[in-house]
Amino acid sequence: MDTVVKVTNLVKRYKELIAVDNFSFEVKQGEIFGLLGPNGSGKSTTINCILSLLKYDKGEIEIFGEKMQGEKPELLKRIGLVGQNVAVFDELTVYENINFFCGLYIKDKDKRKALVDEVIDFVELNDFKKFYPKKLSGGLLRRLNIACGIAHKPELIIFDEPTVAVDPQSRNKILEGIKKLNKEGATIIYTSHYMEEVEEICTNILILDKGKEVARGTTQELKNMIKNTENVIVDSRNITEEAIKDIKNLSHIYKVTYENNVLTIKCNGGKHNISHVLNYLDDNSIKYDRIYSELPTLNDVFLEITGKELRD
Amino acid sequence: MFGLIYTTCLKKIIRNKAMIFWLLAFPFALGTLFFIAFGSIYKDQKIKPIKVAVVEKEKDLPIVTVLKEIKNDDKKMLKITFADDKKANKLLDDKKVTGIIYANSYKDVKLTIKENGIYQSILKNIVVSYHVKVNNAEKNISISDKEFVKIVKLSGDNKDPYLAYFYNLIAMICLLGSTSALEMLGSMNKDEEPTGFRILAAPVSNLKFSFIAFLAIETVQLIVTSLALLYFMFVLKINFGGDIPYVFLTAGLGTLLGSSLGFFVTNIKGVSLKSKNAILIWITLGGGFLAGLMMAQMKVIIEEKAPIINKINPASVLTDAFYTLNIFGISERYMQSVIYILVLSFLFLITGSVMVKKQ
Ligand SMILES: Nc1ncnc2c1ncn2[C@@H]1O[C@H](COP(=O)(O)OP(=O)(O)OP(=O)(O)O)[C@@H](O)[C@H]1O
Ligand SMILES: [Mg+2]
Repeated sequence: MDTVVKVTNLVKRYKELIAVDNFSFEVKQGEIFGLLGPNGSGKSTTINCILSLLKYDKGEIEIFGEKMQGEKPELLKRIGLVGQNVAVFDELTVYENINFFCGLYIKDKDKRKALVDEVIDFVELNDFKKFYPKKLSGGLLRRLNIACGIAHKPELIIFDEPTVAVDPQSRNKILEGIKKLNKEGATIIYTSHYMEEVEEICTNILILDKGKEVARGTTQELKNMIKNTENVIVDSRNITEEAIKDIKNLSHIYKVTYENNVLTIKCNGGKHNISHVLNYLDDNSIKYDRIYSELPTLNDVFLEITGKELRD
Repeated sequence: MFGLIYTTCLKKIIRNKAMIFWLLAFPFALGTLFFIAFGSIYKDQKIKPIKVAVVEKEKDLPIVTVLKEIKNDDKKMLKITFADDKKANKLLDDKKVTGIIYANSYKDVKLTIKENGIYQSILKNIVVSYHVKVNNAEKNISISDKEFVKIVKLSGDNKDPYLAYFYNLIAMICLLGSTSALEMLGSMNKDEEPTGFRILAAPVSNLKFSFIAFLAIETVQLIVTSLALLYFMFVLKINFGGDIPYVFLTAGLGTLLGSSLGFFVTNIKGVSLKSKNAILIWITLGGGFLAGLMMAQMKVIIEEKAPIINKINPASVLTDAFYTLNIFGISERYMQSVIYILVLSFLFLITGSVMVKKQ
C-alpha cells in the first residue's frame, strides 16, 4: 500500500503554547484515518500544517511522496478540504458555490458541470440548487460545505469535524457519504472529538491530547491497550457504601463509581460479570431500574490513558 | 478560470445589497445635498460684483493690482472702495461692503469679514490664493499672473464657487471603493474568513486570485463613479470645466487609486479586518477633510503648513488633478498629475502583491 500522507516530527507553536507537540504518522492509500482528540488538542492545527496553510516550527510533511512546502498546485489539485467552519460565499447560490470552488480545480466547463451535478446528487441538495446559504438549515449547510470540498473528486479528502452542530439524521448521512467516498477510492483523514464517529468509520486512529500523541492503532488495538474489557452499569437509587465495597470485591472488577444514581462497574476480563453483579443485587434484595453491560469505547481508552473524559 | 473568478467576484459585490447601497447612496445623496445647499447659487448665475473695502498701508502693492484685475465674464468681479481702517469698519458694520482687505505689505495681506456666506468665501479664496502665490514665488515656483487670476477665478468664479466641493466628492467616491476592495479581498484572508482557507487550499495562486478580484472591484468602481458623474453633470447640471472625456478619465484614474489603496491595505499582515476598515475610512474621510471636503480653505492651509500631506493624501492628489485639468486644460501639469496618480496606484499594487506573496 502506498503512503499518501507522511508526517514526521511535526511541531507547531503559538508563542508559548505548543499546539502540535512532535508527533508523526502515516496515512496509507484507501484508509480512513482518524485524528481523535478533545477541543484544542491540535487537530485543526495539524491539518492546516499538512496543507501548508500554516507555517510550522519543525517537521516534515510529504503528500503523495512529495515534500509539501510552499506553493504546490500539483499536489493541492489532488486534495479536497472540508474545513471545520462552513466556508461558502453568502452571495452565491448553492449551485454557484459548488461550481466556483470546483472551478478552482477543474477548468473544463463540461467536465465541471458533470462533476457539480454529480456532487449535488451525492449530498442530496437537488431541491436547493438555487438557494442562498443563509436560507439553508444547519445540516443542509454542512452538506453544501462538504460538496464544495469534494466536487473535484480528490484522491485525498480531509474532513475537519464535518459533523459539528449537526443533527443525528444529517450526521448519519454525512458518515455514510464519507464511507461511500472511501469505497470509491478516496483516502480520507477524518478529525473529530466524537469517539463514536471515529469508531464507526475509521480504520486507523491517532488519539491526541494537548498536542501530544496519546495512543494509536485500530479500534481493536486501542481497546486492547487498556485493562478495561467491559462496563456494567446499574441505574438504582439504593446503593449503599457497603454494597459498593462488596461489589468491588467480586472477581474481575477493578473500579466502581456511584454518581447521580448510576453505578458504573469497570471489569477487566471475566466472562459473566453482569450475572455476578445481578446475583449480588438479588441476594441482598437491592432494587434497581435497569442493568446493562457495555463494551469499552474509545472514550474509555482516552479516560484510562489520560485520566479524563474525552468529552467534558 | 479567469472568467469564473471574475464573474464570481462581480456577483459577490453586486449581490451584497448593503455594499451596493452605500456605494451608490454616498455619491447620490451627498451630491444632491451639496446641490440643494448651494442650489440658489446655481440658479442665480449673475452675481453682482462683490463690494470690498481695501485699507492700504503702502501704495501700489501687488495685491491691489491683482484685486483690480480679477474679472469675470469681462466684468470686474470686485468693486473696491479704498478707505482707512475706521471708515472701512463702519462700511462693514453697515453692511455696505462684504469684507475688508488689509494690504499691509507684499506678504502681509489680511481679510476681515463679519458673516459667512458665498461672497465672503470668494474673498477668502482670493486672499488665500494670493498667499499661495507669494509663498510659491519665494520657493521659486512661479505662477504667471494669468494663471493666478485663473486660480482665483476658479475659486471665485461666480458660476461654480463650490466646484471644489464636487471635486472632493468625486475623490471621496473613488476612494471609498477601497473599502469594497477590503470587503471583497477579505473573504480570501485565511485569518478572517473560512472561505480564505478554502481558496488557499486550492491549486490557484493567491496572487492571481487577488488580481482578478481587484479587477472586478475596479470594474464596479468605474461603473459607480461614472453613474455619479453623469448624475452630477446631466441631472444636477454641474459644469466641471475641462473636457468631459478627461473629467471621466481623471475619475477613472481616481477609482484605480482607490481600488489599489484598498488592495494595499487589505494585504497588510497582522492587522484585523476591522482595523483595516477603520484605516481606510480614516484615509478616505480624514483625507477628504484635509483636501477640503468640509472647508475649501483646508487644502490651502495644508499647502502652506505641511505640503507633504497634500502629496501623499490620495484625496488631495485627486482633487488636484481635477483642479489642474480645469485650470490648465490638457497641459503638462495635468499630465504630471495623471502620472503621479498612476505611480501611486502601482506602488500600492506592487507592495500589496509583495505582501500577498509573503502570506
Ligand atoms: N491562531 C492561533 N493563535 C494562537 N493559538 C491558537 C491559534 N489557533 C489555535 N490555537 C491554539 O492551538 C491549540 C490547538 O488548536 P486546534 O484548533 O488545532 O484544536 P482542535 O483540536 O482542532 O480543537 P477543536 O476540536 O476545538 O476544533 C488550542 O489550544 C488553540 O487555542
Ligand atoms: Mg479543530
